Amino acid sequence: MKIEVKDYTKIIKGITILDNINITFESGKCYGLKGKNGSGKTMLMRAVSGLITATKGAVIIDGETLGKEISFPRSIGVLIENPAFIANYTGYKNLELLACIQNRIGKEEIRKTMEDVGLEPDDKRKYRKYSLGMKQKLGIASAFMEKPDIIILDEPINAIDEAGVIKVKKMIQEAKNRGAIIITACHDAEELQELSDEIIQIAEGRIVKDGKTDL
Amino acid sequence: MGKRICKELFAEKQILFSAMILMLIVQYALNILQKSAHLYEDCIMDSFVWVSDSMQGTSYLIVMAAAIIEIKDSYKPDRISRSKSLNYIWIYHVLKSGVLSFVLAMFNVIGTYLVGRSASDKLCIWDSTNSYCYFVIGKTLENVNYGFVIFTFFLSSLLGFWISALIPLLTAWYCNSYLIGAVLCALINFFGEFAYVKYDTLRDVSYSNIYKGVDLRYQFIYPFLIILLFFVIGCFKNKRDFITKISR
Repeated sequence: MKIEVKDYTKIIKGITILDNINITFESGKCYGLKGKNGSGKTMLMRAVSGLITATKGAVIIDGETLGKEISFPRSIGVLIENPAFIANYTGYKNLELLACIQNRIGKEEIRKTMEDVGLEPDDKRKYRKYSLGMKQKLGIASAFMEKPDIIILDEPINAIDEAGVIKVKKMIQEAKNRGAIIITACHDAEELQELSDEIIQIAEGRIVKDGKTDL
Repeated sequence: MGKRICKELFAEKQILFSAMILMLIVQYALNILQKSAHLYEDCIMDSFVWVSDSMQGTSYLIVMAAAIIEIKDSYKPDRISRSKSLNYIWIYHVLKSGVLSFVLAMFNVIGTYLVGRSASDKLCIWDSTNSYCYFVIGKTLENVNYGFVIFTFFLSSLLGFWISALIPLLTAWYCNSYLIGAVLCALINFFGEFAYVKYDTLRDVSYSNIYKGVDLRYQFIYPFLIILLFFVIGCFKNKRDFITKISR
């Protein structure tokens, strides 16, 4: 699998959000996006997810152009913003509801992903009773549960405890081993270095540096 | 898609229940207002006429608000990215607003009946010169087909609710703004009665319409064509951004 972002520019109401981005994401790797707030990290993730259309250029996934041949990537898990979980449903029921959009996985896969991320599938607590960390874990589980080929994680380890971070790293490693592309952004530079195979530095909507990490 | 619509709709029960409670208040208020003078004797069937007369500016807007609240989360990245195509998202919005309208139209029938029942024991006295029907149109109505009147009331509610829900959904789909559609819908509903065609009065389940007989064009065919038109217009949208604010 290969994602090619070619000459990608996004202008909204006269503001250049992404400026002539050229980058290729390859199978089995985790890419870390680094940059200040408002540098364009989340917008690049949205572009790859098909959530925005290009003013100029294109995102090509295995030869298919987003917005032309396909509206959205065929297999993708996304954690951008707060997911739309239902407050009076349990974590498990929320994931079940999301899974029924594509109908690709069953109960076992949902339960397994919840356990992987450190949540108890039989926990009867409603989502509104979840702590911030538990909500974040549920968001991560929603991105991983269908074993997608592309995983987009915007600030995945926010509010997660140390044990939880280790679990997330393990899940990322497993996803890489099966050939998924992971694109993540994280404010903690050290964690980003540890999570990523390549770091992409973004500033003012442009890629200013990309390449292998020191680790 | 059907399974998802039903699951999501009934998962957020508080939205449905709130809409139902507001509708019940409106139905009750309309009944009280209509017979405030107590000049004539009322019956349960009068309730359907009174609610039908004023639901454009009341229940239609309640359903519109419920539809906006129900649909807004489906624009979140985790749901959008799981969709197969843009058309899938629009079809989902149309069908979900349709199911919501169906459920609330059913409730509109039940609520109106209950409100009518709370005020009177008699089902229908439109054949009496002492009835509100005679007071309004100066004629009595014999052998009224209650089932047909209630069914017409239901379908008229369903199609009206659905159109009211689709207007803001369509403006959100095209220009990312529910507000434009909500204002437009409110204006149409509030001032519709003053348009020279008096379209609303042709659609009401009123004494005179029951006397003249239901006009299928105004009651069902035109509203259905409007829904179809909205659906087709939505399907033409082949590119859009799913962002709520301009930021990187």
